[in-house]
Amino acid sequence: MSSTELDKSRATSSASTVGAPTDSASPATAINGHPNPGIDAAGTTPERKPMIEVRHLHRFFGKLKAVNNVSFTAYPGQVVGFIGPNGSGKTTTMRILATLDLPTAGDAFVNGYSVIDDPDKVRHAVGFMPDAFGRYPNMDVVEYLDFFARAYGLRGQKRLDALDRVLIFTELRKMAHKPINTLSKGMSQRLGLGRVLIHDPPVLILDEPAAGLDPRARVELRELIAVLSTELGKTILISSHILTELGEICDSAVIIEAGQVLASGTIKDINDKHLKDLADSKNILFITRVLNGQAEALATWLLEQPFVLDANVASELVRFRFEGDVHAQHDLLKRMINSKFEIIEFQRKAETLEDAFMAITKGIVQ
Amino acid sequence: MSTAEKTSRIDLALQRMNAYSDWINPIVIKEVRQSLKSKLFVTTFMLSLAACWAISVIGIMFFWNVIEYSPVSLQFFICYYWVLAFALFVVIPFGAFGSLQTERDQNTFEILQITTLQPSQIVTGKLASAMLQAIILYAVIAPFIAFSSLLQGFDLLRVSYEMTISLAICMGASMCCLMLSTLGKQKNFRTLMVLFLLGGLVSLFSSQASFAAYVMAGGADFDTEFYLWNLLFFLGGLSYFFLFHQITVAQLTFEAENRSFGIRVIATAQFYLLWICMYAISIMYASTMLRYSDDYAWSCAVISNFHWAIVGFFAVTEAEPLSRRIRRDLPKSFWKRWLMVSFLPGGSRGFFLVTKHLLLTIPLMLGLQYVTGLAAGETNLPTLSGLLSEHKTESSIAQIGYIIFFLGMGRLITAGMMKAAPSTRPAHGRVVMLITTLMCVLSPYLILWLVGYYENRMTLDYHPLMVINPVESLRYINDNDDAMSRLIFSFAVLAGGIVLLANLPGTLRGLRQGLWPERPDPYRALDYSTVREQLQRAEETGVTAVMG
Repeated sequence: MSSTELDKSRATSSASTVGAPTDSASPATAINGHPNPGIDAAGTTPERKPMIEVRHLHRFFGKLKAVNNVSFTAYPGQVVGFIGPNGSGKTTTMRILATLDLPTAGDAFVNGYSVIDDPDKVRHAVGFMPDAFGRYPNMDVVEYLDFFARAYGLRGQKRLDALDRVLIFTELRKMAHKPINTLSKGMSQRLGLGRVLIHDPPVLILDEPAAGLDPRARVELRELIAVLSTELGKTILISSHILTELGEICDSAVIIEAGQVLASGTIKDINDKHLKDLADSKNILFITRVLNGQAEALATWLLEQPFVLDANVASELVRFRFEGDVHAQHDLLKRMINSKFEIIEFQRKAETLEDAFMAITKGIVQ
Repeated sequence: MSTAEKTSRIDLALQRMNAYSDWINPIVIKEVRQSLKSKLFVTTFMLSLAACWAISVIGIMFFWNVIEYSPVSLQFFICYYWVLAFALFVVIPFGAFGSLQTERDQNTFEILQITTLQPSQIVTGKLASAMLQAIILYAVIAPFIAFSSLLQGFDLLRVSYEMTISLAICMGASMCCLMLSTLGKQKNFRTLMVLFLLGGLVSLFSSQASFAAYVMAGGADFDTEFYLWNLLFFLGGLSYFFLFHQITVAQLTFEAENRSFGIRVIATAQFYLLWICMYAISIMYASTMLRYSDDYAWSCAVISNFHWAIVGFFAVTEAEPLSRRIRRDLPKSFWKRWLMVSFLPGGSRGFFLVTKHLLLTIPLMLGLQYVTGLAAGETNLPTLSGLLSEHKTESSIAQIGYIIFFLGMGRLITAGMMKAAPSTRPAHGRVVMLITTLMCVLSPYLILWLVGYYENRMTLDYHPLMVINPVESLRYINDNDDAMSRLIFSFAVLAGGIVLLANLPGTLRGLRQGLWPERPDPYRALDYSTVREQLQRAEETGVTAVMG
């Protein structure tokens, strides 16, 4: 293969270094004694040893390309959001990283160890929380955690210390002797988190940990994750459908669809790029709030104005899509006020990770 | 002793227990904790206890007048034993089956898989837990057996024998159930399996209960022969116990791991164990039991051939490539690799393993005939050519020829299918092999029926077309010693030889893979050109990154 071809293939592959920190003093490091050739999309060499390194990962199930050339890296202390619609390949990638599945091509490294060649070493370094994990019947919380401590080879005082540490961290001490099948969903998720932390792995892979949780439990889980990354320096790869929440937890994200990475980087980078795209596209959503039941009339009026694509009413709010530039926006607002509408709010809808996600993904179902 | 001292001693004991428990398989601790709280175990425990009490009370009332001088211990023991036997042969094995099945159904097995526990530890842990439950149930029944020992007619030897073999059978049944729980993922298949399993366990219970009654009633003489047969059954059972253990472990292991090695080693050990036992028996009983038996060596060869036919059915259909993990773990010494190469996964290596042992059966069988004669003190010992020309020897060689033919064909077809369609699984190859064999068995009947060969015939003569039907052909060779039987023999040897030659290139390639392995470089994936090669190979041959 010529160097041009190689470059082309790299360009087409979804390689990216997710928000690689630059504060490290160490130069380009080695993976497991080998030189680390990990080069991100921008062609820069990471300066710290990545904790997760996914390289050209492929996983095919017959004709279905569940994961199709996915590459990304994550560094110590990073919380990386793994975002994608259902069936996009998130869980498959996570299962490969957790050594529960094997790739068709490519490889993934956790803490420098290949998931193909060194699954035992990877298992020591990873705590994986699947989206649906079973609960053993006839077992209480402390017995459950004790079993996994033993299963990870912790013995004697180390095991007892690990149990203490996890029970305190997850605030499950009061429920230590409660049967696990009587725990609420929120408490079960805490128990699941406790299980993945029991052997103190440097990398956590959490698949939809907030699914089905009430708002309070979600906030509490978010706080736990924040502590794990900021105070304990864990590298966390987390997938969720609640994107607003991911936006708050994660410092970087990988957006995947149909098995391919569509965007990756820090949340700020993704949002900035997306805002720029939106501004360039001249297709912006505005929200206007009016008084005295003028919403219907305003919507009708807006539809007669230039650059307005559509308008719809929800209570006092009028949402409309506009394709004009900033000058056209200014003119429209001026005309609106001059038309005697009692406007109390006029805003461009704030872009969130959700908006970025909606803009980036195309809703492709394989 | 003060209360504080007592407490500190209890604490110390608990601490020590806790420290010792670190060295126990975690699965055992988990399973025991769960079992002791499970409804199934608690119900079994309470019902067993209640049943034993009821038997005691009713028995005492029934034998009220004669209990002091009549030998009623036997009746009491058998009743207690039946209570225990139901738990040992139905409840505990079925519990073991459910235990692993539930792990897979409730998604707990995956989180178990990503711990540092090995599949063998999981299986052994489940078995040990079954054994602990059995021991607890023994403890339930122990006071009642102690009670029966106070009555007239108690036979300690027979009771000990029954209790020992019952524990061994319970373990064997539990192992079998664990293995079955790993087979098949489809719900309908599993439901059917549960029904068959329950039927099988209840049959085991009833047969074992009857056997216990027979033994306790003095039906078996505890002489040398009895112990010898028990030893043989025990050795045979133990070998299958280990085989089932290896199969269960393999079922719980990733395809990329070395799943075949343990199974093949155990199957080979079984083969040698069989022949060692047969030689030992021949030396011990040559002048008595085997004196007039011409079929002894031949029967051993038939058992041995069937053994390899079954092993081969599974071994020759495996995919050829050795995974990166297997290649990485191969020993550095060439001679060690040479020793283990035929035990490595892969159809060609499986065919090599089976063929060499099938061919080894011939000298072993001839040797056994010779040793039997020698041990019997016969003066006119047969020569090698004499042994080879014996009718039974020819029949056995023909059998080997047919087995090599069908297994070799199966390997060639499966290898071809895997090359043509990378998604072909070993199970597909086995189905095709089964269909091919069935076609060879049935098609001659069909053709002869279509041409009207069977019309107006009172007896069914052997037709030369039947030569492809191994069942009819081998039967004919056994019953006849004529030109046709020579023809069938020649065909079987020729067919086996041709298929052996046809498989030679593939077998050599397979051996080369294991003897001179390409050591994997895990960092190749960092170069996209390698990934492209992997993808292309995956598309063309089904060889993935894991294998390539």
